[in-house]
Amino acid sequence: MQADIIAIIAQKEFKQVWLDGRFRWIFGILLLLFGLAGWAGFSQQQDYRSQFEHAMHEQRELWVNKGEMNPHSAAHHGMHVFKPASLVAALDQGLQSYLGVSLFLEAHKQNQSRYRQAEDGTVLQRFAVMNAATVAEVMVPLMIILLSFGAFASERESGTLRQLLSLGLPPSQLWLGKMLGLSASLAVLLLPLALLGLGTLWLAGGAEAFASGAPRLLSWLGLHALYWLLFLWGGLLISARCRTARLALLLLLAFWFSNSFIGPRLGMMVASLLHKAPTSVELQAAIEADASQVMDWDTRTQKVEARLLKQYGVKKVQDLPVNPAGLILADAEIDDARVYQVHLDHLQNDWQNQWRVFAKLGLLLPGMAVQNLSMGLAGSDWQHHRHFAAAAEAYRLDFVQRMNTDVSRKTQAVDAYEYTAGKELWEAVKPFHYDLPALAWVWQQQLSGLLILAGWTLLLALLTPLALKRMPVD
Amino acid sequence: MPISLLFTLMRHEWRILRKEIILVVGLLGFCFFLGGLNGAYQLQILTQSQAELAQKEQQRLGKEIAKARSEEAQFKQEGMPLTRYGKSARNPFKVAQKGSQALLPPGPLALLVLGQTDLQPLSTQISLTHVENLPRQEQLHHPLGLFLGQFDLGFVLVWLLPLFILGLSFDILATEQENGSLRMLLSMPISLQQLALGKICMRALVLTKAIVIGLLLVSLGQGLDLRQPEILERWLGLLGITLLYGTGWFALALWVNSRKRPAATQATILALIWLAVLFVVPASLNLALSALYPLPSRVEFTQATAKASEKVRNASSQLLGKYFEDHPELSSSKRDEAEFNLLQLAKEDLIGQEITPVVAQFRAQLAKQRQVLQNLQFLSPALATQAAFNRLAGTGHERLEAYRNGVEAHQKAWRDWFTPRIRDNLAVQVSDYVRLPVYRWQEPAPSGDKLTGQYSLGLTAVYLALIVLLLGSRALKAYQNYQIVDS
Repeated sequence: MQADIIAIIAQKEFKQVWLDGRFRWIFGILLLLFGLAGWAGFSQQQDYRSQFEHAMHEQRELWVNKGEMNPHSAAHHGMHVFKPASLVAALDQGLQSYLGVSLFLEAHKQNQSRYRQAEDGTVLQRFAVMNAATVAEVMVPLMIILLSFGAFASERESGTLRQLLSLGLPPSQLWLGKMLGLSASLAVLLLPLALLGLGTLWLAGGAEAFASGAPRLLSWLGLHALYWLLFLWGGLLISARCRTARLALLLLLAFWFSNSFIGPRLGMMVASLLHKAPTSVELQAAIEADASQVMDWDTRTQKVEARLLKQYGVKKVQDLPVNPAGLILADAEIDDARVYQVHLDHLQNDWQNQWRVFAKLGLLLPGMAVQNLSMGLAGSDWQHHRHFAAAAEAYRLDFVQRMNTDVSRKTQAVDAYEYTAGKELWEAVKPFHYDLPALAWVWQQQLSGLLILAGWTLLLALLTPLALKRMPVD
Repeated sequence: MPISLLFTLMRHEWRILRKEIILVVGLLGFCFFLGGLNGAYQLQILTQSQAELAQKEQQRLGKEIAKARSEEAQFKQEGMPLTRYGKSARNPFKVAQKGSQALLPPGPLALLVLGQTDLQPLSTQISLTHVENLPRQEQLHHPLGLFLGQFDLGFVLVWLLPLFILGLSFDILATEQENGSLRMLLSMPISLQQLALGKICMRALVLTKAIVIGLLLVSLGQGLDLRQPEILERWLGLLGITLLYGTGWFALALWVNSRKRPAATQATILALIWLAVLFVVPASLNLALSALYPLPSRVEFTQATAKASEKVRNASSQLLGKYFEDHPELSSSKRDEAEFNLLQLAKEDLIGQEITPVVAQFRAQLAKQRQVLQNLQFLSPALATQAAFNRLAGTGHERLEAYRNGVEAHQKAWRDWFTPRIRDNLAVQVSDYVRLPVYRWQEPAPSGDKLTGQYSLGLTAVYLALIVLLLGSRALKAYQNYQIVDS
C-alpha cells in the first residue's frame, strides 16, 4: 500500500515535469548542450591525439637519425616528450590548457612544461568554458533547483499540502515519492549521455580505449548522478522547510551561485594565501644556489677516479678498463637531478597543500569536490600532470645516464669528448611510453572528495527526518 | 515627473528597505575588500619578482663589465689591441648571447583587474636566438588557480555586482501587488512608472555610491596614484563602464518587473538571464570559436621548431657555406678567427628562417580568431565589459601582443648592434656597454590604435548605453499596461 502511494506520487511528479513545456525546453537545451560540448570536446581530443601520435613519431625519428655525435652531446641535444590525452577528457578538459603540452628532456636540467595553450588565449578562453562537465556541474544543478524549490513550498502556498497530509500520508512518503519522481526525470537526461559517451568511446577508440576509458567514464557519470541527487535532495529539504516558494528559491539560488561561481575562485585565493608557494624567481634562485654548492669538477673527478681505482684494483687511471669521464658525468647528473628534484618537490608539495585546502572547502560547497573529482576521472587535473612529469623525469634520467655510461664504456682508446656514437646507441634508448594511471590511483588521490560527498549524503540523511518533522503545513 | 517627488519616493523606499540594502552593500563591500586584497597580493608578488630579476641582471652585467675591464687592463699592459678579445669576457657572440633583459611590467590598473596578468611572462632574456625560442621567466601559479581565475575587483564587478543588483531589484512591485499595498500606494498622486523608477533609482543611487567609495578605498588604500593623468583616465574609464554595466542590469530588472509575474518567477527569469549573459553565451561562443577557429596547435609548433633546429644542426657546414654565399660581405673578413662565432650566428639566423613561416602562420591564425572574437564579444554585455576592463587595466592579451612586438624590435636592435662586430670579429669594449641597446617598455594607450582600440572601448560604452536605453524605455512603456488589480 505504502509503495503504491509512493509510486503514485512519483508518477505525478514525473508527469508534472514532462507536461510543463518550460521543462521540456530546458531538458532539450541541456541535451543539446551536452551533445555539442561533448562533440567539440571529443573532436579536440581526437585532434590532439593525432597530433600527439605524429609528434611522438617525429621526435623519435629526430632522435634516431641525429647522425654521429658524442653521447653526452646527444643528451644535451635532448628530446621533447608530449603528454597523451585520454578520450574521457573530452567530457572535462580541466586544466589541459594551463599545463603545457610538452616537456623538453635534456642533460643536467629538469625543465618545466612549455607552451600553455591558455597563454595564447584571449579574455574569452578564461571567461567561461563549455564542456560536458560545466553543463553537468553548473547548468543541471540550476535546473534541479527550478524543479525542486516549489515541490513542497508551492503545495503549501496553494493549500494542497494540508490536504495531502490530512489523508494520513506521512511526510516521509511524500518526500520519497517526490524524490523518486524527480530523480526519474533526471535519469532521462543521464541515460542518453551515458549511451552516447560509451558508444563514442567504443567507436572512436576501439576495444582497447573502451576497456581503459569505460571505467573512468562510468565513474564520471556515477559521480555526476550522485551530485544531481544530492542537489535534488537538498532542494527538496529547503522546499520542505521554507514557508514560501520565494524564500526557498532565493536560498537555493544563493547556494548555487556560491557553489558554482564564487566558492571556487575564493577557495583557491584562500588556499594560495594560506600556503605560499615559491615564485619562479625564488625557485630559480634556490636551484642556482644549491647547484653552486654541488661538488666542483676537479673534486668530483678525484672522487670518481679514486673510487674506480679501488673498484678495479689498479693504480693508474690509464689502467682502468673504463673511461672515467663518462662516470664523472653520470655522477654529476645524479647531483644535478637531485638539486632540481628537491626544489620542484618543494614547489609541488606547496601546490598539493593549496589543493588540499581547496578540496577541503568542498565541505562547505560540494561543487568544488565534484569539480576536482571530475577532472581527476577525466585525467585532466594537476595530479595527472604531476604523474606524467614524474614518469618523464625518470625516463630523462635513464636516457641521460645511458648516454653518460656509454662514454665511459666505449672511449678508452680516444678522448672521451671526441668519441662519437651512432644510430645503434640512439635506437637502444626505448621510446618514451606513458600510460594514464589506473582508476584506483585516481580514487586514492581524490579520497578527500569522495569522503566529502559521503559526508554530504550523511548530513542530508540526518537532516531529512528533522526537516520533515518540523515541516510547516501552512 | 518632478524631481522632488522622485526624491520623496526614494527616501520612502530607503526607510522601508534600509536593512536589506545595508546587508547587500555590506556584502558588496566585503567582496571589494577581498578582491582588492587579492589584487594587491598578486601585484606585490609580481613587482617583487621583477625587482629581484632586475637586480640579478644588474649584478650579472656588473660582473661582466668588471671582467671586461680587467681583460682590457691586461691587454693594455701587454700592448695588445683592445679590439681583440680573450677567452670569453669580451667575445661579441658570447656577450650577445648572454643577452639583454626585457621586463613586462604589470598593467597600470592590474591592482583592480588582474585579467591575463598571471599568464604573462615576467621577463624575456633577449639574445640572437629566434624570438619564439628565447628563454622567458614565467610566473608560477597553481594550474587550478589559473583555470579558475583570480578573485579580483574585475570579477566582483562583472560577475557579482549583477547578482547584488538583481537580489535587490527582482521584486520591486510583485509582492506589493500580491498583498495589496500597491493599490494603497497608488492612491497617492503618483503613477506606477514614477513609483517603479523611484524604487529602482534609490537602489541604483545607493549601489553607485558604494561602488565609487569601494573603488576609491581599494585604489587609494593600495597606493594607486590617481594624480597621474594617465592612471586617472583609465580609472575613470573603468568606473564609467562599471556604472553603465550596472545600470544595464537595473534596467533589465525594471523591465522584468514590468512583466508582472510572481516574485519567484521574476527571480527565476533574472537568474536565467544572468546565467545566459555571464555563462551560456560566452561559453557557447568559446565552444563555437574553438571549433571553427581553433587556437593554433602548440604541439605542431614545438615540432616545427625542433625540426628546424635539427635540420640546421645536421647541415651546419653546408649551411654555413650557403650562408657565406648569401652574405658575401662576410667572406672577406677573417673567417679563421671568427668562424666559430659566425657559425653560431649563421645557425641562429637559419633556424630563424626555418621557424619564421611557422610563426607567421601561427600568429595569423591567432589574429584571425581574435578578430572574430573582437566582433562577437558584443553578444554578451558581460564579456564586452570584461574585455574593456582588461584593456583599461592594461592586463589583456593586447599587452602581451605589445610586449612581443617590443621584444622583437629590441631583438632586431640587439642583432643589428652585434652582427657587424661578430662579422668583423671585434671585441665588445667596456666603453661599448653604455651604447648597448636597452629594452624600454612602452605602455600602450588604453584605447590602443584607432581601428581596434578606441573603436572597441567607445563602442562598448555606446553598446551598454543602448542596452540601458532599450530596456529602460521598454520597461517604462510596459508599466502603462500593468494591471494593478487582478481581474
